[in-house]
Amino acid sequence: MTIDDRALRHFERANPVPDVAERRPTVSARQFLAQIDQQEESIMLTKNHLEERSPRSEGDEPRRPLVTLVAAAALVALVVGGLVYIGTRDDRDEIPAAPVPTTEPAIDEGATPAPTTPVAEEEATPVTTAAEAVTEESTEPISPIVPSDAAEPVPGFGSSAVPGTYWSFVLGVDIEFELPRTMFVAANELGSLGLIDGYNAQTGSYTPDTGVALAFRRLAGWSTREEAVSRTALGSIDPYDIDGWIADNDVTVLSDSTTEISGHPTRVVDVTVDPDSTVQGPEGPNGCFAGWEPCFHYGLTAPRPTQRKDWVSAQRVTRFYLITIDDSEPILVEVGAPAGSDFFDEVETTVIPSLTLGEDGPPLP
Amino acid sequence: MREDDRSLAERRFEMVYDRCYPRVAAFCQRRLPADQADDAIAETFVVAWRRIDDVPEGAAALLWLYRVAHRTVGHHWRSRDRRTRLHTRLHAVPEDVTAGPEETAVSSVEVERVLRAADRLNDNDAEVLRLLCWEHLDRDEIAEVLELTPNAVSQRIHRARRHLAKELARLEREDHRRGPVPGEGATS
Repeated sequence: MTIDDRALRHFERANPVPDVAERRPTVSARQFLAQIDQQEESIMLTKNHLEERSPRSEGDEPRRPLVTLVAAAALVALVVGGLVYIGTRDDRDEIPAAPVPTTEPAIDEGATPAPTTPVAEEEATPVTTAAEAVTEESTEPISPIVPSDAAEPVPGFGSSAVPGTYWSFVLGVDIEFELPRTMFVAANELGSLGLIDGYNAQTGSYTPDTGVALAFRRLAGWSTREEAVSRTALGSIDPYDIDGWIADNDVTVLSDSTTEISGHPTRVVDVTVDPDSTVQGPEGPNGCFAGWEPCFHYGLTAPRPTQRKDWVSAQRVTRFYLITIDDSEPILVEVGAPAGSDFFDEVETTVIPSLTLGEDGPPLP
Repeated sequence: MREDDRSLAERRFEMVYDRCYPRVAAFCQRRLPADQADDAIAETFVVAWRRIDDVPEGAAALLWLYRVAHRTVGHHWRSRDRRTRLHTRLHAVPEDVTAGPEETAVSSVEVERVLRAADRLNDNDAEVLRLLCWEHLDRDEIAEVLELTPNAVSQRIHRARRHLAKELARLEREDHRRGPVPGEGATS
């Protein structure tokens, strides 16, 4: 028996609930449905199921007040959802044509690339994650970075962030960085921080020739060609295997080099989409903007349940800083702008040199 | 007619509930403490009721429910820290009723250690092992629950096994450096 088999056998024995067959519901299905009826209003308002209509409510005359309440709440949710959609679709990358970024060096043939396969599993040095801290002796919590005096938390979704120093904890690793210009906060949630400039609220899209995006993400995986056209974000290619993603999709690499951010090996890759690509994501909600084809989904941001969707387009250059985090999902800094935009320089000289990462926390769920 | 539709939906739900409840309950209880597991079970079946038309027929219904439960558990996890999770799981470890006292002691040490090792894995790796070893799902079924391709699941299982074995070996070394673990010396 190999050590793998032994570990798996022990793990199987560690099943905390082994006797499934003998388990019976504490309440019958009918009782459960009756409870739902009683609690429906509070459940629907507190559990985020507003969009999911109960079959029971159809044509159920005595429950009209509840249906009305739900309809009103759904309307509110629709409006909020619309705002969220407008905001989040801006952290996708899109815009004008033309190749080659302005600042990124050409492919550095001599450079040793950062790991491109699942982070060195055998040799990986154990990191001090919260999980590891959980030993009998250890009671110390993970220590976050202490934001500098000048740093402020990144404002919430929909706010404007003025130039200054900001910090955030939403990536599972605390980050601090300098923002060089005023940007609209398009996403500020677990696993994803998105800032955009040049957003046109009236059209709900980027201004094509000036719109730029800066995003920090905890990457859960890159999309296969098949997944790239899905309206639901999927990413089954290992999050460090950017080469796998490039090989499986019609991605054009404009430059590829390595550097270090906060002591972490970082791979910097500029990409755009082959204009002749047949990989085309859906348009409309959760899809590409019309006219920005070819455009497709590039991967999945942790945490998975939020199903965040991000896109690369032939009309735009996207620069990925893939920061290695030992034994965990990488941090992805994504800069999107029209080819030749000064924004790449701006980020390269302000955000990146100032970017500080705290101690790695537990992987995001 | 609408009344008929409603009755039909209720009958369908009852069938799904009766057939799948034990496994969905176990799924949640394996991952959450009792009070939160109860909430997660209820939330999962509330979603099933609201989307009863989307619940597939036959055995696929259970995988559909697992997928909902997986997300529901994820929501609960985000509100708790990893330390609490480990604590909960360690205290949920069952005793092997068929084993003698000495074997039980050894087993408890090993089980506790493997759970500590599993807790060092990232959540993706740990979950794929749970689905494999605790829910006894095969590769395609895991792919269905996690919304991955079967090939991706194969890779993840392979990686998770190696990680688990590596962490287990590391913990064994650490424990031995600290001295004999009660119950372990009997067989080593």
